[in-house]
Amino acid sequence: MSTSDGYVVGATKIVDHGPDSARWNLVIVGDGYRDTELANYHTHAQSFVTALRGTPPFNTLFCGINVYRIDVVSNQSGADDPGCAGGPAVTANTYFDATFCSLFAGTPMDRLLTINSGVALSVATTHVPQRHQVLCIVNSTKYGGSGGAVATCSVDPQANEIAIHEIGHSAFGLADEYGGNGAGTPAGEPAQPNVTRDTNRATNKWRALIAATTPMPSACDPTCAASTCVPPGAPPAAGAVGTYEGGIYSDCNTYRPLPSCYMRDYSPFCPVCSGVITQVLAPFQPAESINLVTPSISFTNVPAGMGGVGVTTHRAIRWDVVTCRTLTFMITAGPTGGFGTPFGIQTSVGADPNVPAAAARIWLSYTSTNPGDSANGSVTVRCIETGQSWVININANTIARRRTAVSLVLDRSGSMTDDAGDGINKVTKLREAARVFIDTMLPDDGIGLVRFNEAAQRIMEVMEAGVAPGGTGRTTAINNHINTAEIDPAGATSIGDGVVNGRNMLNDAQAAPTPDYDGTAMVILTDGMWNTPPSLASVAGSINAQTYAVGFGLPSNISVPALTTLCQGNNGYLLVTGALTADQSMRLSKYFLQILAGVSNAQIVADPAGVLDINAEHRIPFWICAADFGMDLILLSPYPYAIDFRLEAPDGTLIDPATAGNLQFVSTDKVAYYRCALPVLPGDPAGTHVGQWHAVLRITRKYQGGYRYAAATQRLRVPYEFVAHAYSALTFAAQLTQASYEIGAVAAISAALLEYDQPPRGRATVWAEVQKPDGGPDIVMMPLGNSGRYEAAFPMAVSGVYTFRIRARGETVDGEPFEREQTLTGVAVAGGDHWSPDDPKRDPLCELLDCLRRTGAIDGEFAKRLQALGFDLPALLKCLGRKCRKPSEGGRAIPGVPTNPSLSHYSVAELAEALSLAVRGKGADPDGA
Amino acid sequence: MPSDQRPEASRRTLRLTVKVNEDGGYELISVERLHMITPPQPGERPEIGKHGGSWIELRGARGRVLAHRLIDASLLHSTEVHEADRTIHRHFGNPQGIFEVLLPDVDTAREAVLVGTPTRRRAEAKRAVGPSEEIARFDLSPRREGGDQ
Ligand SMILES: [Zn+2]
Repeated sequence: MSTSDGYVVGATKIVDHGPDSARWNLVIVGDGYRDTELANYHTHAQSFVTALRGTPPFNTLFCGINVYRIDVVSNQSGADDPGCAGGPAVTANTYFDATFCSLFAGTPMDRLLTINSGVALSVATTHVPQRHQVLCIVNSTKYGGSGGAVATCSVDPQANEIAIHEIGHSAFGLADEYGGNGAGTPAGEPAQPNVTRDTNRATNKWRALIAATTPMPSACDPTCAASTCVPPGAPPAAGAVGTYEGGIYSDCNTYRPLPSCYMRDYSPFCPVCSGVITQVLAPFQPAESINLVTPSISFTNVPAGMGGVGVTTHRAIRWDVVTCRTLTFMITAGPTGGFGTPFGIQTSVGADPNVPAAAARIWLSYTSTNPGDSANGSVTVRCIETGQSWVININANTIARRRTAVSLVLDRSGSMTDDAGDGINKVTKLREAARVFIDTMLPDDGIGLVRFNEAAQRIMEVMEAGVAPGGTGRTTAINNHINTAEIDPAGATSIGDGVVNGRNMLNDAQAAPTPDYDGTAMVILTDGMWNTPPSLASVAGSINAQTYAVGFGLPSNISVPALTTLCQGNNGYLLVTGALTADQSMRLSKYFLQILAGVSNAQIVADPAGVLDINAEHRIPFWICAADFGMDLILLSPYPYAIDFRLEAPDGTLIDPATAGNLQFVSTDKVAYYRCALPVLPGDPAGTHVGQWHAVLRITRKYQGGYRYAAATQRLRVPYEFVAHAYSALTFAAQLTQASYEIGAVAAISAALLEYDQPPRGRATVWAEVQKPDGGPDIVMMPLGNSGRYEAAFPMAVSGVYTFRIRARGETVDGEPFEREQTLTGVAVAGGDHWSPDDPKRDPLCELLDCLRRTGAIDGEFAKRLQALGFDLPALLKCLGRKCRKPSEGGRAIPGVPTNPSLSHYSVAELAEALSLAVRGKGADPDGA
Repeated sequence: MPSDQRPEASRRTLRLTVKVNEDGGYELISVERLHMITPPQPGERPEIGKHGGSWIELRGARGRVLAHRLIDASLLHSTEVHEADRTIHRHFGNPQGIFEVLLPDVDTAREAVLVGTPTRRRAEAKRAVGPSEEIARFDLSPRREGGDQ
């Protein structure tokens, strides 16, 4: 039973109040914990720390203390207990050899729990050289402990007190204040500061704490026949420090400062002992400091509200405080200028239990009014304890909501007739997604349409979307263009020309005198590879709109690097759908909705999917916080009208399409949504804003009836996707970058989380749920990096589309839960980096080979001739497969292979050079590397 | 925070490790010099022959006491048992083992003197023990640095 019975895992600084050289360092080790019990040990260590911090005077001295926890694994659980008090003998092989019934002077003492203190000191020194005190927690629920070189206690709930009492001896030099028969009581005046034989108020060692009215001695032990103690005429006041007979192992002629004390019976430390502890820990205390971080508060450019409801936004006056006591900051004047104090006019801040600094915040609020309005004021705050006072200036202004002109740039090349993967052709999906986007847009935003195949056309100039439903822009876009033959598929793919037209359309919209768009955004949908000039790289530089792209299909068929570069260079991103399966049938629409959130600066709060059965009711929870000032709750379904879609507010209030309030309900044949300003019901602001909301979904009664017969024979199932968007001052923005598109490339994912433009005060967790092409889901935690962003890297080891659902969950400044999420995609394909960043150049060799193959020129004779030239045909065909990619069915566009194979634009010299490069092994790399 | 004033305290600390042998003798087995604050020792300085208890004195030239540290009785000759009924009892005897003492690391220190009740007297006495006296003396001159370990 020794160190061979376990191992040391390592040390963790669980309370960090500064450098070890300047703090009092407590080291906790554990004994009798198996590796599977370390989590319990962590709880026990934390519980001791909490107990110590809760024991005055340590509560006010705690920021002078560091605590290290050393994790030590034992082979067995618990401690030896020879059973000296009559119980069964138990042995446990533990690292520090903890045992009850320790022998002292030859006698076993049942509750005397000891360890090999030499080993414990040595382990502590190895990990924390600057240790002041070592404590060992033994994983036994039997009450016991000991003092000495290492304080030791079991995990009995009260055994913490044994350790604190023993630390009173070993670290602070305090004597026991209990009496006894005098065995062990020193002759003469005890050296310790908390016991005495001296009852003379003029010379007593703690005379500074003795009031003149307190009798001396203050109390005598009546059982002490031999005592010289003269009982006082009147008893001392309760709690008065004096000299009370009994202490340091003698009931008679020795005195303690109060009737009770931790050093006698675990009562609170008496003032004398507290003073000693305070004196010992004083040099370890950091200096108190208060630093106002926000000398002025600005609510700059707060948007006017939705539906006439002002947007209330919050900003905190913040002080960074280093203190070991509680400091209270209180508004003593103001705020003037109409600003509010949403969370009260004062705040108290104590030392953080684990770090030296704490932040004190008093929150101010501003509610936006009409565009162009501004407000100015000030507030005076005082720190009660220090008397310091600050005047903080406040200013604010309201602007119109940012309006955005959007151009949808839509691919209508021939391949859009292909199956999207779920049995429905791509152009149908495109029409659905475009309609969802247009139906859901904000009324003030503009919509324009561009279509492209081998050339592009502006089919609808930017128009204000208008009210929903029925606004002129929306209905024109859908009825006159999206639903018409204008986007029927035909021809090749010139994404570049589409982008040029989209850009020009947006520039024209912004140049027009009205309406005044604050920003522009372009959303490109393509299912193919650029194959007709201009190249994306050549037009990318001229784009000034926020740019998003959706790659509709398999990444190997799409100009992923060029589109990624284009989007990331313009504050957007590329999403690649992959082949759609039946259960992801609405993915394209969902991607469009996410892009719409980006365009309209909305935050995604939740986006679950489900399938409603005839009698089921689905309750979809989502959190709305005080920073949210509006929300869109969107239901996608092939049959949105078949779903009874209601909302349940945090206070249980049910909201349906007929409810009057700050809400609008819109239902079309592809999408239904509530668009709400918060709070939703002006008469119930507390119950219809902050908290957990539910979307409540059921098959509508009408359809239940209509399908009752059908339901009896076959199940009626209505699939849906629910998406909650919030317009908010709590923003989440995720990004994915990849330096390579080859298999094995690494997706660097990162996200920024801001609450009122500051990092959230509460703890937030950010992670990514990764859907890999081979189906396996993966969770990647995204810790907060030094840059202030949450970050992680994910290697893409197999070929295909990786979907990263990046999620954040945490607490807002006022303790309410929040959730945010964003989906991004990464792509890895063999030969991915062979795509030129300047978009694929045409490859004469590939085109030649494909042409030869398609025209039947590759026959036995051709092979023979090549063989004679030393040319290996199978290797060449491998090239065709790997370098040039396999053309898809129907002769659709692939890189370098025109739908209608014609090599006429290459000179004979070009073809000959390509062939000769390939022969020398440069043009066609059979490994695809 | 009790006050903004930080008491003077040594930022260099000596940690002495003393072994209590079976024969009642004391052996200095290690001297560590540490870059950390030495906890102050509150209370008046005890005097040999006058005060009872145990402490260690850090002495400079001509026996001048530079600092002292009270020593917990558990380290020298007793142990404390915390009973299940929440009473506490101290038992006296002749323990053996090691103990540590933190003292300021002062350049002028020459030796450390352990003051207490001689072990030979403890075994016989169940009565109050006498005043303290010097029971061991450890050389801290530079050649001792690092101890015997
Ligand atoms: Zn006390």
